[in-house]
Amino acid sequence: MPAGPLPARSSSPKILAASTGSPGLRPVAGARERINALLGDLDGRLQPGHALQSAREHEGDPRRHASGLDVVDALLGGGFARGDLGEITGPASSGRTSLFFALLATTTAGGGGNRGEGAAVVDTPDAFDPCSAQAAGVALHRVLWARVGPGREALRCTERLLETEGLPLVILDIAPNSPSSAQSRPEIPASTWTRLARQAATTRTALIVISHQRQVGTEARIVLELQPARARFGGTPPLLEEIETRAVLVRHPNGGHGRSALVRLGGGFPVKNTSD
Amino acid sequence: MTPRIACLLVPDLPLRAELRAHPELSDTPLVVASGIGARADVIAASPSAQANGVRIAHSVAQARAACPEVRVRIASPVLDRAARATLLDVALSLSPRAESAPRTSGIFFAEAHVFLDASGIGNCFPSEPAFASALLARAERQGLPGTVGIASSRSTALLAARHRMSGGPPLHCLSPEAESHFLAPLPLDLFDPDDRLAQALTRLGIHTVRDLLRLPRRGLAHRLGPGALALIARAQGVDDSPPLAQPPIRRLDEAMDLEAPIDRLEPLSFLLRGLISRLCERLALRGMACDTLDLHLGLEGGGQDTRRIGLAAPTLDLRILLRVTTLALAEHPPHAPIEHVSIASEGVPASSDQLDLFLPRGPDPAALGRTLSELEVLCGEGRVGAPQVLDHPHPRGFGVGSFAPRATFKPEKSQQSGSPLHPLHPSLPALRALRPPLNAEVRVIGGKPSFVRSAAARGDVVRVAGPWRTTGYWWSKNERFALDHFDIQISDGSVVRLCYDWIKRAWQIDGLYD
Repeated sequence: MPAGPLPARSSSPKILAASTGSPGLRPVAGARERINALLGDLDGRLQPGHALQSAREHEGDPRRHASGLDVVDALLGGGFARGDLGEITGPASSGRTSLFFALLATTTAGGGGNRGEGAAVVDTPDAFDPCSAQAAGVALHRVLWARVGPGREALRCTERLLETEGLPLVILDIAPNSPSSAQSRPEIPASTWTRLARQAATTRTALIVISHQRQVGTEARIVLELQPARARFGGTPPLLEEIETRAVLVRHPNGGHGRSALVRLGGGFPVKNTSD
Repeated sequence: MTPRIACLLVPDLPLRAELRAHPELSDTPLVVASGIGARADVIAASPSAQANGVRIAHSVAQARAACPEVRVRIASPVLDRAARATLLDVALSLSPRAESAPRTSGIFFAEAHVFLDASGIGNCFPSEPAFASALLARAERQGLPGTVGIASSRSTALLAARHRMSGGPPLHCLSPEAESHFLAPLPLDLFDPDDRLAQALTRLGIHTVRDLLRLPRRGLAHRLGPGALALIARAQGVDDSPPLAQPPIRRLDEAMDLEAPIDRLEPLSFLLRGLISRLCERLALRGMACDTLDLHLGLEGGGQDTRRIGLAAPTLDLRILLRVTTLALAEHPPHAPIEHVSIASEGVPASSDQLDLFLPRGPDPAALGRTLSELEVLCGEGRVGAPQVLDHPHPRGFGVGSFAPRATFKPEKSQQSGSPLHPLHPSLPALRALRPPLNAEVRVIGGKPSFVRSAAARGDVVRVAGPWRTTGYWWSKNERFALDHFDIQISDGSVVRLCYDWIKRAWQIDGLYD
């Protein structure tokens, strides 16, 4: 875990006075010195991510979309937050779809005291398999599945879904089915992601992009990269039991970049964190 | 309890019907003629045309002489019918019982009116004038400004509406006590008696209601016939017609005859915008939304083109309806220029939002309907909805059903037995479907694939599980299938579902474990 001193606070008394809207208001004498002393006492015990998380807890815990996979949720700090744009990347058989189904399952079918809600999937490769999703626990009738071709229509679909309040999770799947189809796809301009991220923040919708490599750029608040480790076949006759993948946190607002965990997808037994 | 009847009257319906369809003419002097040619009569004239000296019953030639810049439109039965239906829709938006009055003749030829039940409105409106104002406002919003009269009978309500047309405020509410006082000085011409009776009354010097009611009934009936008794009853405010009934639910349609045939989509979409807009406004008056559009095109040469355009969810969004319609026309354009356009919808009740104390709020049904309709335009028909697992043996079978985020979810038994916190661990890695399946070249050793080459994956097979054979529909030549599935891991790291199709005799990759 990265550790280090907190960055120096830059808010000057002048800015403080301006932000209160009272030009004549003077800061309390010695307040800044006391804050600096307090931060000095805490220096070394707080990490940047923890400070921000603590602040967020005081603001009220934003609802998150957990995957139900302990390792992944721990890595993400509880899941993908509503109003944020997140990205899950990885090559074929890296577990992107399993993770996306797990997110859908916890959102649509509920669990842990939560009631199920609606979610939308913008499926550009037409790869959503209802049988597999149902086996993963997804309440299919609460999933709005839009089978749209890649390109502007898919982005327009996503924008329209983000404008519709009441769908807390929208998943945009732009991962190609084959490397050849990946090359023929048009590049999505950065301004589009900016617009989608703003729309998601406005309607408090978690927008998660599934892709084969990073597409969103700096607009993604959380980027989780999945690296396929191995597939486990067991039993007699041999059966595919699970896929092991390494989840690497590439980007997170609370820090912790580069942290990783080994995730087992499938197999029906609890997963555990085997590495950090 | 004395019944209360409201009459909504539009004095110049042919003019209003034209202006509804051609709002761009609202600022120009406009007359509506009864037919083609300079000798046709003017049956309605706009205020600006009347200000220039044009009068009703002028010929078109006289109207042009009085006002050279006047625009002449020929009365369209199609527009007239739509305007009358709209008037009834306005009435039904404020009262459950209403009826259209039959067409009038003589000096009231251009008039259209509807009667509606105004009894018991005290629960919704503070007074009858407030009710009349609301009725007038709704009619005006539909492009049908008029007058409203409220009285105890239809004939008196109609007279109250007519009487106030000349100068007074456009509404006139008569209490039962004031009706006889109101009727007494009215000229008998307002009751539109037949010509023979009107001439006889004039000959006898009877001009007003007061004059008529002073005379003995029996003597008048003896001399003038039974028509005189009916006229006396109307003059007394007595109405023997049956009470207003609740009309049956009808299809709503808007139509237009074109002056010149149209053979391109752009000008047609301009016309469609107006038609659909008016249709949506009428549906909104009834608290309904549009789920299907029936488009009927009359083609040059007598041909017909009828099509039904379905929507993913009921909506009143003009942009979506217009786009769906133009897309349908662009996909299958009519084979001849268009002379007549008609668009109709039965409408379905607009969905309302019933909140639940124990469930998340979810999307607003109306907003969701708009979203679904727009998504269907973007994705294509049948490509938006909730995924469904079909009761079908084919491993690639699936369906798309309606999206109902509020419905209660009952997890499978296998899921119910899991941990309450994480009950949903998948028993297998998720499958990513490849539609259509990708063809593959496969080297087989000992009955099992050892090397695979396809667009999705390429390399030596590291692990194999299978085969699992699925067969079905052996009795159907077109639907039968026989597939051998293998789960294989390839040396490039991908884990795919490979299958051998015994019908096509080909290897395919139809899924990717991910």
